[in-house]
Amino acid sequence: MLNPNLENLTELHGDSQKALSAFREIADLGGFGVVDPTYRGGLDVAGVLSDANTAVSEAAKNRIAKLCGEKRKEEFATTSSAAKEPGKK
Amino acid sequence: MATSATAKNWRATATAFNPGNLWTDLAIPGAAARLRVHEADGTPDATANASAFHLGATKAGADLMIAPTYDNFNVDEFRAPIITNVGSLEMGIAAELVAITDIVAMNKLLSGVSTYATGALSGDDAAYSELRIGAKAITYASIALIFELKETAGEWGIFHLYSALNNAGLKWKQSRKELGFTPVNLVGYEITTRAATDTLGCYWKTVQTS
Repeated sequence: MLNPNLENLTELHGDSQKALSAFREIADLGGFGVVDPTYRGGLDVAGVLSDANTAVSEAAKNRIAKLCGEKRKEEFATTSSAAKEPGKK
Repeated sequence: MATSATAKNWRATATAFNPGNLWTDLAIPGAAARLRVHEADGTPDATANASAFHLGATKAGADLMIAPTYDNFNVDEFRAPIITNVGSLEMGIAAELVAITDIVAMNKLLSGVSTYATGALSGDDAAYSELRIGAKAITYASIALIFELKETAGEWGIFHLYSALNNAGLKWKQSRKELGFTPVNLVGYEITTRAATDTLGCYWKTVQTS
């Protein structure tokens, strides 16, 4: 998932305590700040997992991806929230 | 010594003309990332913003505001301030929304006071959608106004508050002759544990400028 919140993390990890722990770890590693875990909009991890994002370490990206049940993908670098090369859309 | 001219740039296309779309319940972006936008139409990317909610039409557009206040300091020996300090900072979006009877939308504008519920027709009881008003926990939302750039069709400007709520409540005129609308004042709150340069929000566009 690229938009983790407490609800979908609970489905992924099996119980709410693990989900809460995962949410907090993702928020911490991804530089989201301390976000209310009940916040319905969740976190946008796609921009964090982008190869172009140099603010988050590769180790942290791999851990976030694992907590979200995602594999690192090339396409993370192709949308607006990732840095673009000048002149390219 | 001879002088030379410096080129002017009137920036006539870098102007704010187009209508915007007001979205709430967006995902919060992480470090060095931004709201993911579907570039084809300027809507929030549905995968990364699964809960995104469009707040509907405005009566006359939206006012966007980033407002620091500066505290100036004077010394006796000089008449003008010699240094300053950012005393406070506000970032917000104000608009007049017309979707008065959209109970779900109105519920999102009453943080800490409204509870939404629905019920089906049952015997003599009518079906209903309601907002019960009282006290409850305050919740914040990630809110953005997205508009098409005048300078480049198909590119977008984004005014994003990471954590915000409407502090104006709801107030409208119910009338036969006038379009009802409610003023909303969406104010941003800092997420204090983010990077110091990125706690409140982000104003950006999908075009790289030199």
